[in-house]
Amino acid sequence: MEQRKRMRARIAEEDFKLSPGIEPRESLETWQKVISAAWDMTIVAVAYNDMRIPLRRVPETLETLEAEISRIGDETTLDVIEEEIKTGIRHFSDILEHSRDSRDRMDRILRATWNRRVQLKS
Amino acid sequence: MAEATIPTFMRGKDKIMSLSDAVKTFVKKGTCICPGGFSYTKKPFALAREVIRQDIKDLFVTMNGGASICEFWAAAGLVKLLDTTYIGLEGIQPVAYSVRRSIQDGTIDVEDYSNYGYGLRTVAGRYGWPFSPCMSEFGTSFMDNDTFAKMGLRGKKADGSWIHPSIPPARAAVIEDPFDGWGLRPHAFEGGDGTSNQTNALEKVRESTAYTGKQGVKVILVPPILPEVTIILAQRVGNKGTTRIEGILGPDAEQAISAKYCIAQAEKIVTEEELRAQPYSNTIAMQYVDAIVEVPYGGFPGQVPYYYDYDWDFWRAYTQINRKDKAEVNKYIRDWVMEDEWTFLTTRPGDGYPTITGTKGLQRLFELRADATYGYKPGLARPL
Repeated sequence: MEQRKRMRARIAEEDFKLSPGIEPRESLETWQKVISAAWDMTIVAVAYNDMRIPLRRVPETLETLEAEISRIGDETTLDVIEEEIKTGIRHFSDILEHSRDSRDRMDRILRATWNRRVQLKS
Repeated sequence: MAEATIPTFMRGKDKIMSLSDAVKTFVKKGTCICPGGFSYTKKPFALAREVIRQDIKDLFVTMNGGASICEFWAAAGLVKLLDTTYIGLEGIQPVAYSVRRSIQDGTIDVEDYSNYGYGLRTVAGRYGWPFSPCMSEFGTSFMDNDTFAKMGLRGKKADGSWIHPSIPPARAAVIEDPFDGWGLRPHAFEGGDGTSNQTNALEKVRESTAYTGKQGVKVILVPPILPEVTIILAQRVGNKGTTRIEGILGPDAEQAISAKYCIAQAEKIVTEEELRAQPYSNTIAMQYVDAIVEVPYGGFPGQVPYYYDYDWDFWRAYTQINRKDKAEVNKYIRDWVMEDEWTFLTTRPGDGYPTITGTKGLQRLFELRADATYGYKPGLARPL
């Protein structure tokens, strides 16, 4: 009962009043660019969350396969492995290249943010 | 997981089984079995082959989406009843020949639904509805034929139990639309209905006196499917049964959830943790899966999206083989499945039919690997 009273007291008439229009401190274009980049990084983060565990498993299965190579007796099996690994290299290189590129840009953006912060303070 | 959802004979046991044990445990003579997948895609062929190896007869096959598994079972003489929508092997053989021949010679009795009608039956089964409404079978001869009724398989026995637990008491029922056609297209929006689907032209339906003798909008009610066992193929299945299907879903989730038991054939069994990283991407919850078998390449000669493509050369050759004498086809299919799946996979791909490269066994299987960007193998030759 006491809690309900407090709740009732807190929701006063002035709480329902809407704020007056505030002059935007940042342009809409800037916000759109921030959101666009944040969303793209989120999409990748969500997809990565799905492949996090399989990706962790790959080095282990590759290690097992590497150990098996010395026991292979048929050259056509080596052809199959070669083909699978080449495909893997193609996909993983693509992932690596874009990840590295994105990661480098993130560092640059952090530096640029810091620079801009210093400029705004001075 | 609530124990009530686990079959009594499976309580305390591991769901992960060998192919042979899974089929032995769940598929018996006369079982109503529902193969998942669609056409050549994601069909649990390893489980289907094991049914042939164990020679499980008098099957009641209920299925949507293509006859590739049923064709092999029909060729092996294992099917008695068939409840389906179409029996094609897609473009390569519009009517699967062994199924067709068995229907023609009276070995298989078939009940036929429209694709949409059957699809809605699986939806009713999934959600536990007593029926689904549709109109897609009006104006066809579907409603005039009722094979299972003629065979005396519908309804109840004197003791009140169902004559066949997987066969509904009626093929379908027609009722007056209680909403007087309000939901039909074209809708009564101002300026007309811009949707492309005008198949249920309201006035024609309203004027008709068919089925009930009275004018007015009618609806067909189709019963759910209630198979005893559904077999599905998924790329990844968790060690407790959570199932992740990638690519075309087909009717797999509906059919799996409709069934009393579900066997999931996996390309790879993984930890539950791996699949629960994104629970919303999973297709079937663990409590609906009763047995899990791991058979990499077990979808051969079909396709598993993102893993491998179908073996077109096999199907091209098979559609010539299945036109041979019935006994010869029966012997072929029983020889083809070999004594176990591993022997099959290392021997049969590329064996007994011409391919461009002439490779066999696992080399042939790796030749069919899909490009993960597309989900299939773009360069696969598909000559007719």
